[in-house]
Parts: sequence; structure tokens; C-alpha cells
Amino acid sequence: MIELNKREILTCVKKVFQEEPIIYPLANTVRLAMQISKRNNEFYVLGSMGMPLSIATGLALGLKQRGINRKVVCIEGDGGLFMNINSLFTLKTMDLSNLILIVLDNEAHGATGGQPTYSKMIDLQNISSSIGLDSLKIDYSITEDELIKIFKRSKNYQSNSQLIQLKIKHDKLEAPISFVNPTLFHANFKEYCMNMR
Amino acid sequence: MERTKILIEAIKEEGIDNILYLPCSTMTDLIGEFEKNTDINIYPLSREDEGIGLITGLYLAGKKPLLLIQDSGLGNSYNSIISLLETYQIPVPIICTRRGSIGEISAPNAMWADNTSALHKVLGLQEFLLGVTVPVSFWKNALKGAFFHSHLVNRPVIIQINLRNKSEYND
Repeated sequence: MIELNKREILTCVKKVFQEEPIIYPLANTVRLAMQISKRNNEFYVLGSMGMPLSIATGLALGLKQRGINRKVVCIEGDGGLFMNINSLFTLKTMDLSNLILIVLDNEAHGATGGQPTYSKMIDLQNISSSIGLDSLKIDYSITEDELIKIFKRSKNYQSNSQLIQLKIKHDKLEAPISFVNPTLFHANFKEYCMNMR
Repeated sequence: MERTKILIEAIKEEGIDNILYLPCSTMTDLIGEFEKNTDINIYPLSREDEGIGLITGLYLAGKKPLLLIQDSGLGNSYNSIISLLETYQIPVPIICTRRGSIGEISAPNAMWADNTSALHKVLGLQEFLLGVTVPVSFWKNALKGAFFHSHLVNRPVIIQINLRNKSEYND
């Protein structure tokens, strides 16, 4: 089990992927991400559980069609990924090598009281590998520096889309709820993507 | 076939560059035509609501996507349509082939299709219905207008269209 908490992991993500578009999933993860920093290369999904990987896949596909060689990073929880598990198969069928899916897997629905997801019984890394995505599961203690090295390696990896499954503790680290305007997120992120070269 | 031809022309003239679809039996010719067209990328889906996420991503990347589904697929998609497309004001078109009414052979399709317009009113969704009340000669203009409307109001639009040429009773 990784000892780092979500805030520490998301800080590592932001350190490594400064010029890559990042999609965050709802609830505490997106609130933590916004609390750490709000950036125009980040798209904050406030609801739509399960949609981040589909959004990221569409984005990766569109950027590839535009000839932009940059990774798209999708953060997702295990609950969200199981809700839209088809999205993993669709990613494979799109033949993309520019997407990195980082799954914060605490084997629970954190926002609703920690009820278990399927992740305890069903191995996401196995599923991902079996359909031909490059998949890595980290379920041991690592430092922030080691995690940053792993993210940097995935950033430079060109051969395939990747799943990085991080087995984390179910912690009660809560970021405060704040009033935000999703249409601003849309506008800022779209402008960022349109300016990508 | 005439209705399908009009739809194909309108989609091409709008500059749609990516079509995500889950097929309906009435859109076989339509899909076949786009599979031959190398200017437009066309991708099958496994479920309609993941198409909502995909067209969002494609739009944010600067592309012009279209979601093409049967009207029953809307039922699988409303949460994503409201929580993503409406909440973030994503102006993308969703074209749904319309089932139900006289001539329908599937009871579940009939139960669903006849209620979608009322549902869209309650949900505040922008809908355009191309059926027997709109002359086929006007369809191309109507489609152009619907695409335009999406950009004008920064909202998704749902265009319900009856491609079954045989029955003139279906709306």
C-alpha cells in the first residue's frame, strides 16, 4: 500500500505534468486538485462520475488528429473507472499512445462513506494488461521522489497508452467545498488546448 | 434514402470531422456512407453515455464532433448530458434516430420514444424534431439551423430525426 496521501500524489502529478492537459474526477479528488493549484491545463470534472476517461480519450484523439505530440493525463478513482469500465476498452480500440490513466485506488467510494468498490476482488491492472494497455500497479511504499520518477518515465514513453494503478489508503483528507464556475473551466481549458502546438 | 442523403449532406456541410455512433437499424446506410468517407473519422461506441464524454474531449481539443445514436440511447445519457454538456455549456450536436409511434415493431422502443420530447422540456434541453410535421424539403435548412443554434446558445442540441421513409405517420 502506498503511504502517500492523495494531496501528496496530486502534487507529484502537477510537478511532472506542467504542460500536459490533466483531467480530474469529481468529489474530494477534484477539490484537492483545485486547492493545491488551479491551472488552465487542468479540466475539473465536478460531477459525471465515470466520465473523465472518456473525456480524456476524446481529448487525446483530437490532439493526435491535430498532430500534437503531448500526453493527456487522466486521474480517476477506482469507483469512477468501474462505473464506466467500457471506457478502458474504448481507449484501446482508438489505438492511442498518448494517454496516461492514473487510478487512485483506495478500493472504496470515498465521498459516500468508504463503501467498498469492486477493486478488492477485481484486478484493474489485469484487465488493463489483458486488453493490451501498458499497465503498472504500485501497492508498496514509495517516496514522492520515486513516484515522480515513475511519472516522468511514463511521460516519455511513446509506445502505448498506460494505466498506473496506485493502491492508496482510504483517508479522510477533505478539501473544502468552494463555489466555482464550470463554464470558466471550459473556456480556460479549451483556450489552453487550442493554443497547444 | 432521401432523408439519409439530406442528413449526410448537412453533416458534411457543417464541417463535422468526427462521428461517434451506436447504431440504430434505421441508420445502416448513413453509417455505411461515412465509413467510405475518408474526410470524416467515424468510431463505434459500446454505450451511448461514454460518447458524451468522448465528444466533450474532442470538442475541447478543437474538433467538431457529432454523436449519432438511437433515441433510446438518450436514456443512458441524461446524467452526462446535464452534468457535463449543460453544466459546462459544451455546444455539440447529438443526432438521434427516432423510434416509436405508428410503424414501430419493438414495444420497449415504443414505450420510450413517445415520451422523450416531454422529458427534454422538463430537463430544459434544446431539441429539434424532424418528422412528419416538418417537410423533408426543409430538413437541410433545419439541420443547419440546429447546428448553428448550438453555437449561438452554447448548449448541446438534440436533433431527433425519423429516417424511416416508409411510414409517414411517425413524427
